[in-house]
Amino acid sequence: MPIRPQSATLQIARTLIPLSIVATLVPFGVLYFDLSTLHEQKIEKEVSDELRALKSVYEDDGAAAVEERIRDSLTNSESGRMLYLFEDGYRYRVAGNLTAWPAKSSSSFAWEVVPLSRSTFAEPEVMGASATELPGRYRLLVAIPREEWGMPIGLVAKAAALGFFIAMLLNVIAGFRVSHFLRRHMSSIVETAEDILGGDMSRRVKVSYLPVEFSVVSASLNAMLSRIEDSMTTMRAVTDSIAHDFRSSLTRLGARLEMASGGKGGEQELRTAMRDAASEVDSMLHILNSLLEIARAEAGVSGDQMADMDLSTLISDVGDLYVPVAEEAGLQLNVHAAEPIQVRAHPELLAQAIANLIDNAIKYSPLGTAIELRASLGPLGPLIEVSDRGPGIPAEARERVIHRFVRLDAARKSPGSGLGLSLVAAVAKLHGAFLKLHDNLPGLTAVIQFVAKPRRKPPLSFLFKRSVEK
Amino acid sequence: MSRKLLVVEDDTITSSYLVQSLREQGYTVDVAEDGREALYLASDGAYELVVLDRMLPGLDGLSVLKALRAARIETPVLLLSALSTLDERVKGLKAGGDDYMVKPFAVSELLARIEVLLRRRSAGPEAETKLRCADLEMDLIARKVTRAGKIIDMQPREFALLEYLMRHQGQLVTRTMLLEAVWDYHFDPQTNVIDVHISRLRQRVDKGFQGSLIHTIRGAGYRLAAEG
Repeated sequence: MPIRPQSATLQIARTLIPLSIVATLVPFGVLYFDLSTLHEQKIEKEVSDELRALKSVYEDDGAAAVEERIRDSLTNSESGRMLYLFEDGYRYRVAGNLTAWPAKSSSSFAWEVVPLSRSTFAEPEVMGASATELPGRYRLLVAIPREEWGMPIGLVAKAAALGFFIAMLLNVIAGFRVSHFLRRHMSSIVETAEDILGGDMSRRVKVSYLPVEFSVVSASLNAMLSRIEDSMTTMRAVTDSIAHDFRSSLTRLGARLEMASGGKGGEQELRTAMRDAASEVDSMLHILNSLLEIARAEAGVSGDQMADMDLSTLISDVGDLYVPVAEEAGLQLNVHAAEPIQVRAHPELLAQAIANLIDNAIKYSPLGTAIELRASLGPLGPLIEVSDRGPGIPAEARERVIHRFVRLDAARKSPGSGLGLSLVAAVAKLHGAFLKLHDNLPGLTAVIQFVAKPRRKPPLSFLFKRSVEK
Repeated sequence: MSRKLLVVEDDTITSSYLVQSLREQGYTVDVAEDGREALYLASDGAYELVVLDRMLPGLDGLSVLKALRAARIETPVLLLSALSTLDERVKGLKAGGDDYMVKPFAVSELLARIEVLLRRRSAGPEAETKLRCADLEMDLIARKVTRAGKIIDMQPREFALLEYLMRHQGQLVTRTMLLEAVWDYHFDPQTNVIDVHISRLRQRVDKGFQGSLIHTIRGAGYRLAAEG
């Protein structure tokens, strides 16, 4: 069955109609039941009063008087509701207008609702009857057909209909009110969306005056918008830097090839030119690869790539790879991994991030100094530190160097793409950790700080069904 | 008998370049340009190895690979892909690939890996306890290395590095292959870490002995071989 979109008003109404029906039917049903019981008791009393009256007539004046009294009341249209059956000891009808005594009933009973016929060929009708045996084996039955009880059904039905009508009217009003309310609060979201479609990414939904459920939605929306805006800004910055980097590389490449092809140089020169060109291409590919790696670290990895692992083992392994490299560069790399520290991480990406930090440290350390690689459990949670005794990074630039392609003037002379720290930051973020740079007095300490934090849930999230279960 | 390879690659420039390099190495090469053709050609099992690109028109590389493996065709498959994420690599190897290379790649790297895969196949999985190259001996059980009868002390990593070289002696082994095999890292370190480790290994294995066994192949990698 295809699902057609419906307006909220209609949906609310569709929910409310059956509810209103129930809400009207139940109390009026109960009311009707009570009223009819009461009413039946009234009829019963009427019948038994008549029976008692006739009984006393019989006791005072005998059967003939009863007969006469019955005839009177039958011809008298006013008491037309009552029906009688007065039989003698031979079960012969002395008076009355009912054909026969009810089949299963005894000669005397207080109140029964039984089928009785008015005349020989008439259909039996359901009647409420009382009967009594009289001295001299006479017996007498008084009945009122249920048709003529005058049950208050109409009255109740009228009241119920009125109640239902009022409920429906209220439903419609409520529906309109709710949809108006929805529309009014949605409109700010819609307007914001339209502004954003119009190109103004900085617009946000106003949260302050909204009812709480809406402010939750709006806050989530705003958070999402901010994230998208961030990504877009980053994308733009990255695109610009790639374009810039690649343009200069390609220009150099073109110029080299141009010169080589137009030059008078021999084979040797051509070979040199080609080697240069190839290494230029290599460096471009390297940049591209780093960018892709960052992008994929930022995009996150599937959960099954994450494993519970020990940071100490990890840094020992990475240290193992780099200790000889540091020694070759005239430096010392000391690995401090005392106790096992459990984290949930992507081993390879984390190793790569640490390798990047060590690469940097090796690049900037003065000859003969030591680099410290340490994993420990800090007050905030597990952390990995790489400290060197190099020139460090001035405080005001520390935020900046984490961005892509940022290379401080001091570093322009050395090889590198300016992507190393961005990758580290992206990997840290992927692990719910952050990268912090601070002064090692002298030198730089880079810290990947893991934060053991529970998954935050948005406030009032229980109000919304989660369609995606993690 | 020349060895038959199948190259599955939809990009004609890449494939012609590949084919040329492989023919120069003395391989016989067939080319398939889409997944269906690849499956058809590879399913008779006449190839020694298939170089399979993942992004193909029609039937993608992974599906081709799964289909081959489902049909019990155990030809070694080297996957090529522009998808470099670790997840993708794992997917490729899980689907039955024997090796995985990320584009762009150096042809020398590809050739070296093809050699390794072919060699592995011909050698068969016999459990060796001793590896030998000239007068260099490695006892895998006792974790002991000797050259000309003299014991050489080794760190565990150095041992692993040498073991890999000895298992692939005579073949070109690239830096990437070493980093993957010995450290299990698949990233491209900014500094040439492998060169440093190899030069340390040389210090132990070649220094003070007759003739060097670890040779540098310029711009490509290393080879362990007795001279001559």
